[in-house]
Amino acid sequence: MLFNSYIFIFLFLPLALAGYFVLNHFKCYELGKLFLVGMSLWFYAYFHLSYLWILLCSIALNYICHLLLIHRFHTRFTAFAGILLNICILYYFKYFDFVIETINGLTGSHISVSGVLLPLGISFFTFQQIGFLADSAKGSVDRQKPLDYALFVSFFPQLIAGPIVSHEEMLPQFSDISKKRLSAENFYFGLRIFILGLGKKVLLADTFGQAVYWGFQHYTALDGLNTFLVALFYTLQLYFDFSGYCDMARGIGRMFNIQIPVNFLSPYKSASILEFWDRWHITLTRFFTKYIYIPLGGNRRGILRTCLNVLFVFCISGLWHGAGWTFLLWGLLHGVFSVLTRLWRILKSRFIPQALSHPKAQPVLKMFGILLTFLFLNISWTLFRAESLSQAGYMLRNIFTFRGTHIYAELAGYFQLHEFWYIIKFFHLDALPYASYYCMFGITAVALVLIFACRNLHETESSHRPGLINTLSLTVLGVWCVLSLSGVSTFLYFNF
Amino acid sequence: MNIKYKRYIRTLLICFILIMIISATLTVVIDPFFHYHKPLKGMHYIIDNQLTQNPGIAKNFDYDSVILGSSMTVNFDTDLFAKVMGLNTVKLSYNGAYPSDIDNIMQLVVQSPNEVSHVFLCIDIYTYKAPYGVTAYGIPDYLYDDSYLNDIFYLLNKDVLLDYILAPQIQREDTPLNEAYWNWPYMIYSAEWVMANYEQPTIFAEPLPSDSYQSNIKENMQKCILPYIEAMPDTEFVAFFPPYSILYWYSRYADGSLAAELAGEKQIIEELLTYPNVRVYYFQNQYDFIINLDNYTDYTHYSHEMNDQMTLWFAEEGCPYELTTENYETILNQMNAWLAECDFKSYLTVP
Repeated sequence: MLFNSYIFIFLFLPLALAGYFVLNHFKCYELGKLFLVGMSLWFYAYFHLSYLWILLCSIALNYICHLLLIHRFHTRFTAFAGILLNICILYYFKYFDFVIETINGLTGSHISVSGVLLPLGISFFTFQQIGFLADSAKGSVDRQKPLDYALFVSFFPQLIAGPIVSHEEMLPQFSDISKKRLSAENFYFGLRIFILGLGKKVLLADTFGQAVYWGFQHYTALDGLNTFLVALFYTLQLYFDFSGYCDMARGIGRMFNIQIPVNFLSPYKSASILEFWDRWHITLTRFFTKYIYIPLGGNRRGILRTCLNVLFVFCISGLWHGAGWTFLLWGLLHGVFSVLTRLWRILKSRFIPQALSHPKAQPVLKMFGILLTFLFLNISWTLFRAESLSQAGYMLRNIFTFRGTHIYAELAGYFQLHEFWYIIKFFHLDALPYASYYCMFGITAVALVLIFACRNLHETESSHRPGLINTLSLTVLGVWCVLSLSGVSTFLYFNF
Repeated sequence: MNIKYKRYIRTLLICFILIMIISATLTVVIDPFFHYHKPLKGMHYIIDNQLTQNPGIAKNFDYDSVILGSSMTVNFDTDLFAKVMGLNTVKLSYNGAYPSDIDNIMQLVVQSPNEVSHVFLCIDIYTYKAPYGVTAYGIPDYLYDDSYLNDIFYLLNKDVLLDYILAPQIQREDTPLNEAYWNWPYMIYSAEWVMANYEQPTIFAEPLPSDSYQSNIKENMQKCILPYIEAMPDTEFVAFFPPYSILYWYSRYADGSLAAELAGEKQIIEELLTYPNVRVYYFQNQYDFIINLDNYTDYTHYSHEMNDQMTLWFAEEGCPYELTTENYETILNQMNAWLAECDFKSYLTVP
């Protein structure tokens, strides 16, 4: 089930909220949790019934490992076996075909691929459980009841596309009696975050998405200018898509009085690639830092080892995002630039004259850093989106030809939303030159302003004061989104 | 504090639900896809969306004959059907229609209260050779099934509200039913245009065995077409093979499927001619017409004059293009022989 679907908005969510709070109202707290687990399983099974067994088996096996670890049963072996089991499940469903295809490609063999469907959100709930097992082995987790554990893994707002939550931030909230009553304040803010997230997804990401789809389908027919625009649109689409989804998840959690961690903090305002990864998919960075980078030695074993650790983590990150060479190269590219940024910082602190550290130079340097980082991201996302290395190579070479005299009408056509037709007709804008490009420029400008010049949703939360105007604006946005649901695309991050 | 939030939540939810109800009511009342009823007098309707409007037309319009098929049928003028055959015809075309598309819409035609005396069925061999179950596009189920639950996709739909309800009323625009789905006014018909857009085949493959498509064709016929012919003995099915240009046959020759397609056509014709309520027309052997690319906008799509001409032939007693059990083999053999001797490359340059 998608958050941006009629069944979710008009049936599932009201039913889940009503059932949960009614059961809690009668102090049936355990039943309330059970109800929420049941609803979450329905949510998951709605995509494909067979997915449900994978999720249930994964939960059951990890819970058994957790019990063994709590009882200190061959702790190192159990932890190793448990984590390996998760990796094997992930490998089979996500990487098996990629490995076979690579072997076939290299050796000319004809080993058949499994062709199994990738279960939705498997990377998210597998990593969540790996983290839980690692902490159980360290002794930093108390014994959990099966129901609490099942709810921790399956809680539907974060089940299929994150954020990757940790047990210490979620499990206490599920048991907190003070969170069992419907709170009007939390509900209001939850609704607000949900609607704004829905707007990001339905109105912005999906609009850019159509142009991007067309651009990547016809990449050989594009010149440098149009290829650059397609890359830019994908950069915008990906941000609004994924952050919109995470906002919706956070909003739904808030309606249940559950705080789900923030996953995006204006990532494109980052002045360096290191800063970007502190702002983009924050919970994934947190996971890699805690469970891979630090155990490898982090930055405590000299500069060379630090650089190798960073490269390794980014390669894993690349593969986590997708089973393919484009993803691996994308991860490696980010790793290399992260290493270069670290080295630059060391060099700067030792050798660069004080003039560049002057306070007046800082805003200029920051702007330059933001621009450079954004351009780098445009390039790296092209690699991320491309279906093959050759496609990515073709498109990137195309961009750097700096050729192109006009923007293709087909590309601009995807921005001609029906609602803007009325505005254009009303103001007779269609008679003006380049009228067919106004929507594209307008929507892109709005997106860029939202990204670079506005505070993000999290930053506005504390200062937001509900009022009639705000409420009516939210209503209009909500209506606009719901009426736009038919025929919108699916989430990009579901396959990761 | 809580009271303030409750007030705003109430305001938001009430306004939201009210707007949703208004949108849904507007859609039910005007019903631009004719899902619930016929068009209302005094309201304006545009008919330009085959996937979403065909099911409503099939279910709720009054008619006694239907035109089914691919884009080869969109330029038929249903007024001409009334004039020359006295039929009240609706067009239920789907661009690139596969047999399963025909099956989907025929189910609704059969369920409608209309007494259907004629079904005009265009047969494009290249779709019958596809595996059973393929459709040209994914169909919007909510307009094809009987469930009211999924009608929400129709009732709360921005495109429906803005494009099909508000825009036609503001512009006072209507599509005359006989012109529904017409595309010829926007097309260019000339040999230069056709050749400029024709992708010349470069692969010259080994000819496929002539029975290559036999099983797919058989399954498509048995599951999508024949059940209706058998279940509607009082309805006359007029099946016809439209005249593609010489370039179409050249492409088939180049990809090696020419003999297999011609054998497939023969298989369909033989099957259809066994039914007394079927008439079959073969228009592909109009040699002078198909070699004149000025009659076309691309390698298959002919001008609307041909649609009109075919309509007149349907009405004509003793039409030379009608196949019978006696003449079909001769006509098909002549076509095979003509194609076998054809110097395709001589037609690849614009005169």
